[in-house]
Amino acid sequence: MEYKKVCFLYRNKDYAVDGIRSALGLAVENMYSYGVVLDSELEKLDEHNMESIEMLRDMEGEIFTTVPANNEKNGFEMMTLEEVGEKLREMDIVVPYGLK
Amino acid sequence: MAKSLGIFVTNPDCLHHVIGITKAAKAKGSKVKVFFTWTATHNAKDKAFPELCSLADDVSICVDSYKKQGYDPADIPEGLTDKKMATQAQHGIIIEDYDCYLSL
Repeated sequence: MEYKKVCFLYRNKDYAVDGIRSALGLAVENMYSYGVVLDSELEKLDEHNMESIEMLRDMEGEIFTTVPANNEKNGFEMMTLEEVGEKLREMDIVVPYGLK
Repeated sequence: MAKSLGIFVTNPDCLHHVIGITKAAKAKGSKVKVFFTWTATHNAKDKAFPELCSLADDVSICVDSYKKQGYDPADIPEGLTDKKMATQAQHGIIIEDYDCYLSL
């Protein structure tokens, strides 16, 4: 069986934490699920949210970011905008999460 | 026209668009499933929400998001049943089983 690949894009920080939970939800449903925090800096995540990210990683997912502060505070994998573009080409579905 | 359309909604202010798209898709014979999450669960309290539930083939909301937005999960919005107070698995169903996907 071929599993779908999905990437969430979080540009609005008010939606990022819940969007990470949503990415975990798809990983639980047997998809390769990724998220990218673009442009905005998140606060240090609490233990519960960090556990969600660890669970996502256990299922071969990952949270990336283009913002160095998110790497320093929360351990998100760094990715340039160009690399985000390359990553999206591998995806079956791209989800812009939390449009305003 | 695709035979089925799944709509994933994160935006609290676009219910009129969801209804319009659903009407258009149904008019073309498409099956439509809609799933609301996070702040978009506020849409379930809009007076137009029951109309969407009657138009679409399947409407559900993320019950965890609904709770986090300050609502009581026992307070089921008009147009839904307790089984439609669901999880992110509904998003997974849209991606796996529907021909077309739309995120609003």
